[in-house]
Amino acid sequence: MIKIVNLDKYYGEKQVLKNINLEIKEGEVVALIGPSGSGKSTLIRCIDYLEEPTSGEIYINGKNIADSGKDIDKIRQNIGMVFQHFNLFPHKTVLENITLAPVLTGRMSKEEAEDKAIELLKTMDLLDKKDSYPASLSGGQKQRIAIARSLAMEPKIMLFDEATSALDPEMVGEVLKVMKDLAESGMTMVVVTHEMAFAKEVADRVIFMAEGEIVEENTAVDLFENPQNPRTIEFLSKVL
Amino acid sequence: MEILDLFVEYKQYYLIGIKTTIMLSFFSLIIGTTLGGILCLLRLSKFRLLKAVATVYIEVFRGTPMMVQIALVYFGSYVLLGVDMNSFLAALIAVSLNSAAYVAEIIRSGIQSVDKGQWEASRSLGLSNGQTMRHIILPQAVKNILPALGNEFVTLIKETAVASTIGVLDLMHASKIVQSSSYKAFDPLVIVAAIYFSLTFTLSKLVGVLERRLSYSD
Ligand SMILES: Nc1ncnc2c1ncn2[C@@H]1O[C@H](COP(=O)(O)OP(=O)(O)O)[C@@H](O)[C@H]1O
Ligand SMILES: [Mg+2]
Repeated sequence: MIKIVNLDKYYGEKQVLKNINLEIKEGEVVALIGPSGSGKSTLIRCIDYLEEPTSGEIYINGKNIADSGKDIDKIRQNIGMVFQHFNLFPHKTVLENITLAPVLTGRMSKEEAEDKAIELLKTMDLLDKKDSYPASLSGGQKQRIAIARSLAMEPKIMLFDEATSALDPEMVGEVLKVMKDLAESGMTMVVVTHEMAFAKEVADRVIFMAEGEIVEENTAVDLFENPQNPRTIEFLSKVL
Repeated sequence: MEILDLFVEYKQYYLIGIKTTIMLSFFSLIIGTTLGGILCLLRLSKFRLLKAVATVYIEVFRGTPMMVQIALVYFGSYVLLGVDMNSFLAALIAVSLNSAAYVAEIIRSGIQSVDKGQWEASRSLGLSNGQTMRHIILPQAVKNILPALGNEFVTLIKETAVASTIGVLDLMHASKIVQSSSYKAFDPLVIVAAIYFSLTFTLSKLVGVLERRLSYSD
């Protein structure tokens, strides 16, 4: 579903991704872990082409996204992205936040999009907030709305970049629950996270990155219980 | 009071002057905003040439005195094109072109003040660049742009005083007429300063109200 080949990314002189090769299958949940500055965000943002790779290729369902030209919008419509700071549209109500993209991209009529939004809000237990503006919501509510906004496009892949890092501790759980349900529903997911318990429980595969490289990858159980690389061992000893 | 009597005596000159100054500033702002919007789009575009043209335009108009620009349009239209241009029209053109440069920068900074995450969220949903600009960025940028445009209006009211140099019957010109017909040099200046101040002060207050209104809806 996602295939990354020899991906390099430089910011100026600085190389932040070094020869990344990675394949993610449909329905797989992959957790990306690693110290801050190791390139996790850059990698996940390259998948959505929010960052342009310096060299190497990224294929989404066999299509090289660098060759997509104007079709990049079409590709992105099938990839949802959830950000650390939610990035809800502050001038739109919750309902408008969710219906905007499906309607503007022509994917759904206004009625269909609203039905879909209401259904999503119900599953998130946030239907009573549908006419509120984002500013009046708690962090956990905002992030769940942001997830609903992405899901309204009925994406095939969901990317999460530290979706719970900006939340007060008591709100982390409600967002992780939504992510877990999504994973169980069979969504293909790439999750950058510092929540090791979540990665262990939900991810099929865990990738440890450091200094722009994939240092080690394995099933969640094996990587956490039996890490091989000294850098992985050191990192895990700090965070577990 | 002597100065008040002077004002009352020459009231009709001042009224015409106020009207002309406001009209010149207001229409220049409208035209300048339209042109400024286009200039800003060019400036932010991906095409190097368009970007360069817009940048040069903005720098030149911001880097030369409005008095010179007005004279260039007024006399230039005669020298280069052989057109005997009405002085109000010449001032309107020059002030609009000048204002466009400032407004382009106002709009640009309004757009750039919107959090980068808004672009990313919108693009990641599959909206195009244009859709993102129109539905996500501009509605938020307007909050910063409108008050700044109000301030630009205030600036124009003051700066259009130089239009009197080519004979536009604006407020400054009225003051000059009063000076020469009353044989008084100082008092008419006090009057005209007071009028300019009450215009700009009122307008600044209105901008302040607008600013508060817009920030409430955050
Ligand atoms: N826009 C940018 N310009 C320059 N350097 C950047 C930019 N974004 C990220 N970096 C650098 O790239 C490296 C990787 O960053 P990032 O992918 O955000 O790491 P992580 O998400 O793992 O914390 C860091 O050293 C960071 O400073
Ligand atoms: Mg990061």
